[in-house]
Amino acid sequence: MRQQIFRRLITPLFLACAGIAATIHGVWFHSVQVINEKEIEETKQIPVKPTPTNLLASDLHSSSAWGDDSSSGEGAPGKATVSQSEPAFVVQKIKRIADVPKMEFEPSLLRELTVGGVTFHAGELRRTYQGDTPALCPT
Amino acid sequence: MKHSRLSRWRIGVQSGFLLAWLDPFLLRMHGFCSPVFHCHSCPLATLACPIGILANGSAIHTFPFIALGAIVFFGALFGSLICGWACPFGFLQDLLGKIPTPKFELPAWAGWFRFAVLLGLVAGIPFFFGEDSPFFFCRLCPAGAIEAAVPNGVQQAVTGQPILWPSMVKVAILATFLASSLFTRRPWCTLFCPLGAIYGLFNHVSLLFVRFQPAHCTDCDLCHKTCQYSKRSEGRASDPRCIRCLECMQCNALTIGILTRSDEVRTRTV
Repeated sequence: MRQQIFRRLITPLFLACAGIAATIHGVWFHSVQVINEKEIEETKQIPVKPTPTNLLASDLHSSSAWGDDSSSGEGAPGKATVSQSEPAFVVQKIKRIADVPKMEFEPSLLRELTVGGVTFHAGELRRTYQGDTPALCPT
Repeated sequence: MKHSRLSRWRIGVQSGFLLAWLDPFLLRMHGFCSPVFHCHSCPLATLACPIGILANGSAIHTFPFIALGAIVFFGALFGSLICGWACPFGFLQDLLGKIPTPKFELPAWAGWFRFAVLLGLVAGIPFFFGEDSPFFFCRLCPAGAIEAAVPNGVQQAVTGQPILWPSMVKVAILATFLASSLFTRRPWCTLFCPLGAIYGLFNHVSLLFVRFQPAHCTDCDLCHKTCQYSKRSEGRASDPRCIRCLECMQCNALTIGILTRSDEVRTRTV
C-alpha cells in the first residue's frame, strides 16, 4: 500500500518540483540580451576655417590692415590676419541613434512581451520602442 | 459533496477566481504567468497569459521558463481542474451554456485539434514567421478579443482617445465562439484551447484525480447523464478532454482522489 502511494505521488510531485525549479530559474538566473536603441547626444569639436571676421576694429580702420605700409610703423602686418587667441574649433552637440545591449531577466522580458516591447530581428532581440513603454499589445 | 452544493460551489469558485484575475489591487504583475487563459492585454489583468507568453517566447526564440514552470506546476497538481474551476474564458462559456437552447455534442476526436493549435499557432508559426504573421496565435485569440480589444476600445472611446479598432478576423472568431457556446458546451475548450490540451495531458499523472469506486456503482448511469463533455465520466480520470467540472460526482461511485488511484475505472463498460 505504501509503495502504491509512493508510486502514485512520485510523478506529480516530481513534475511540481520541476515546475517550481523552472520558475526559479526563470526569475533569478535566466537572462537574455536585448538591444535598446537609444538617442545619444555627443559633443564634438569641429574645426572652423579662419575668417577675417575676427580682425580688430582698430585694424580695419588703420591703413596698415589693408596693406598700406607707408603710414605704418614697425611690425604692422601687410594683410588681414586671424587673431591667434581665438579658438580654432566649434563645439557642437550631435544626436545619433546607438545600439545599447542590456541583459534582461525573464520577469522583465515577460513584461515587455505583454506589450510587444521586444521583437526578434536578425538573430537578436531588439526593443521596439524608445522612451515610454507601449500601453497595449500590438495584436 | 453532491449535485446542488457542488454546482453552487463551482460558480462561486469561478467567480472568485475571475475577480482574482481581474487585478482587484491593481498589481499588474505581468512578469509572472497565471495558470489560466486570460489575456494580459486586458486592462484588468493581474498576471500574464501563459499561452501568450509561450507564443511570444517562440516568436523571439527564447525559452519561457516562467510560463512553462507555471503550467507544469499547476498541471501536475490539478490537471484540467484549472479549466473547470478557475479559467475565466471557460466561465464565460459556462454562463452562455446555461441559456436554454438546444445543445449538440462535438465528436470526441475533435479534441485532438487542440494539439494542432498548440503546435501550429502557438509554437510553429510564431517561431518561423514571427509575431507579425496573421496566424500568430494572439492575433486570432477570442479571449484576447473579449478581454482586451473590446474593453480597450470602450476605454478609448470613453476617454476621447482615437480608437484602435481590433482586427475584424479576431472579432469574427470571438462572435463565432460566443454564438456556438449557446449550442454546444465550451466550444473553445473542446476544440481549440491549447492550454486545455496541455492540462489534459497532465490528467494522466496529476495529484488530484476523479476516483471511481465500483463497489458503490449501481449502474444508474447518472455519471453519463451529468457529464457534458465526453459522456465517459467514470473513465475520465485521465481523459484529456475532461475539464474536471466534477459534475459527475453526483454519483456516489465517484470521488476526488489524491493518494491512491483507482484502476478499476477501466473495468467498467463506457
